[in-house]
Amino acid sequence: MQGRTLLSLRGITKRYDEIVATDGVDLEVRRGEFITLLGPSGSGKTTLLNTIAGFVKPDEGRVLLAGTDITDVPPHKRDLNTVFQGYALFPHLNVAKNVAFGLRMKGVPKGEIGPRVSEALRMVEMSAMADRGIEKLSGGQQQRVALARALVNRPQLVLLDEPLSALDAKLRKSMQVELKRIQEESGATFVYVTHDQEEALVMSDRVCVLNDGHIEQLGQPDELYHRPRTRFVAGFIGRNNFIPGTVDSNGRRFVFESGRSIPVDPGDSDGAAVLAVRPERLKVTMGASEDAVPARVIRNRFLGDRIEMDLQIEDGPVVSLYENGTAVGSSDEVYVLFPQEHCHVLPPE
Amino acid sequence: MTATLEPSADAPQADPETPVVGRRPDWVRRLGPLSIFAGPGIGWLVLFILIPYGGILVYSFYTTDMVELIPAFDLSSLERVFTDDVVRTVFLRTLGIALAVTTLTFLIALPLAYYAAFYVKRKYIFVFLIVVPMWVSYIVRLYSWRLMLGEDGLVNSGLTGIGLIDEPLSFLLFSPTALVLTMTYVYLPFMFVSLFAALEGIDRSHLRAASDLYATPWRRFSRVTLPLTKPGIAAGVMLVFPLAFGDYIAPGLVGGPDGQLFGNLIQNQFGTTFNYPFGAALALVLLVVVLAAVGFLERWRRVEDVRIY
Repeated sequence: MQGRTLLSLRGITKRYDEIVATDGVDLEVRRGEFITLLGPSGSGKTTLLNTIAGFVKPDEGRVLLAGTDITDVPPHKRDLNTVFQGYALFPHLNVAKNVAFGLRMKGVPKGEIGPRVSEALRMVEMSAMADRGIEKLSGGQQQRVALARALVNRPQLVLLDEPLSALDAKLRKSMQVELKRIQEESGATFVYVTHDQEEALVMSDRVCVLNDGHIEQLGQPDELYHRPRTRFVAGFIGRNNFIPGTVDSNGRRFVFESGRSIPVDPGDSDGAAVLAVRPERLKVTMGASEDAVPARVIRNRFLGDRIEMDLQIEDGPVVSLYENGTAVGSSDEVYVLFPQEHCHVLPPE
Repeated sequence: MTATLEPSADAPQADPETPVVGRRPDWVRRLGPLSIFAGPGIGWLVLFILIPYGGILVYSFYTTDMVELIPAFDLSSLERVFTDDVVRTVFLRTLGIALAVTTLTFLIALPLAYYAAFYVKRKYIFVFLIVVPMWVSYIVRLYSWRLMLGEDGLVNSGLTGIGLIDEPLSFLLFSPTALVLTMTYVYLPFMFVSLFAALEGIDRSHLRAASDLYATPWRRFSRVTLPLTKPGIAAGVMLVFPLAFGDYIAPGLVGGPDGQLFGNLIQNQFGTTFNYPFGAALALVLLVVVLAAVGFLERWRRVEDVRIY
């Protein structure tokens, strides 16, 4: 089970010339959890991972592993292992020797190395390939070997740098399930870096969304999806409609630019704000009500299991929603229902 | 609309059973139409490699009566190659010097190339500076070493000038030492470029992976960097060793009486004593040594894991 803190990042700042890669990042990783650093390229997630691994020295801040300050410890003395983007398997060694490399460097007794390598290869279902050369493996197989090479050392912490990005979509899906299984079986703590929000939601216990070198939001996948706290998170994870407007003085109503307002749960912001609401949460109705806004159908798109509709709310922006029933004809006057519990009032960017 | 996309029923279909008239033989088709571009290369090989070496082979069976070359099938020249004491002495000396030069160029070029590949920001300027002496004529570079090492040369006058020695050191020039020094200098760029290219091509993530897997900097070098440099080492040795083994100009200019190499021996047969059959037989030995070295390196290069465990 997940327990106490294994890794602490305290105020990690790294600058490259003018560019701030990470800006005072604080993060606590719990023992045994699968945590994902999610963000677009340039968000600082890889810099953060390299800081943990020891390849990047932060300008400010400390890295603590199991309570010990390892900020100034060189990579080869850190009790963690990395699965590199592109795997970085040694081309001059076969599968078994790649996996054995870390044990040999650590000085594990020879008699112990063989069984541990076999066990690691079994865990990633690569036992039959032990004597193969690296260049004879497919991308998915290399991925498994890279994982075995990290896990065989039984590190406290495994860092994974976009390990699935080189695989095709189908293989990626099955490896997501695999990775989660292996993580649970090994009991290791995984810090996983990706720019793929779907990947992050599927595998992670917690997701840390990064943008421009700082943490936007840290939480469980469903929390991030259903209760995004910033406009960036709302836009980066899943689809969202964004409607500009204001929040009235007591924070209980969101006022559209047209002047019409709907009831919302009180949020942090007041004054200018953005309303975020997911397409699958909006409804089309024919009758007026307090939380419905008049709109005009612009177009319908048939998606098979549902219909995607674009509607223009009065004098306002176009919103998209999904409808399961029959389509409403174009340019018909209808109402769009904004369910209060699914409307998130966020600070404008 | 869609009808045009359907394959037409009466369109001609390829029938595998129908024999194709005028089909070319398999090996011609395997070459493919682009094989014509290999023509000049093959022509070159035949004209300048196969025919001359064939000639050498034929010559080695000839006999001579001091002035005239007599076609024959005579094994005495080849026999002499394996029995003559002078040949043996010179062969072993040449082998020793060629190995020494190869080793020295490797030992000097490796740190240079490593530094250039991993630590120099504007590395191609660095490489340029190391390679630029190659653009100066080989002979000029040899003479410059004569000037440096001679009795009135830079080294001797410098040493006498500061009073370290009373008389010029005569062994500096016209000695095997001078020869090794000079040849190492001359062939260094070949080794350097080969090693640099290999080191430069190493994926940096492999080095990170080594560190990540607890390898100390030294072990990272010996178990990852060096094994991954293997093709470059093989290429460098393949360039330097045959060149050093066959060199007869440097020994002639700086080697002195004890620094004459196998190449000089061959040169003498053709140039001085006009014993073409013996010279040809010696040249065959040179060829065999070089081919053996290349074959060995090619095998070594393919060994999967240079074991240092």
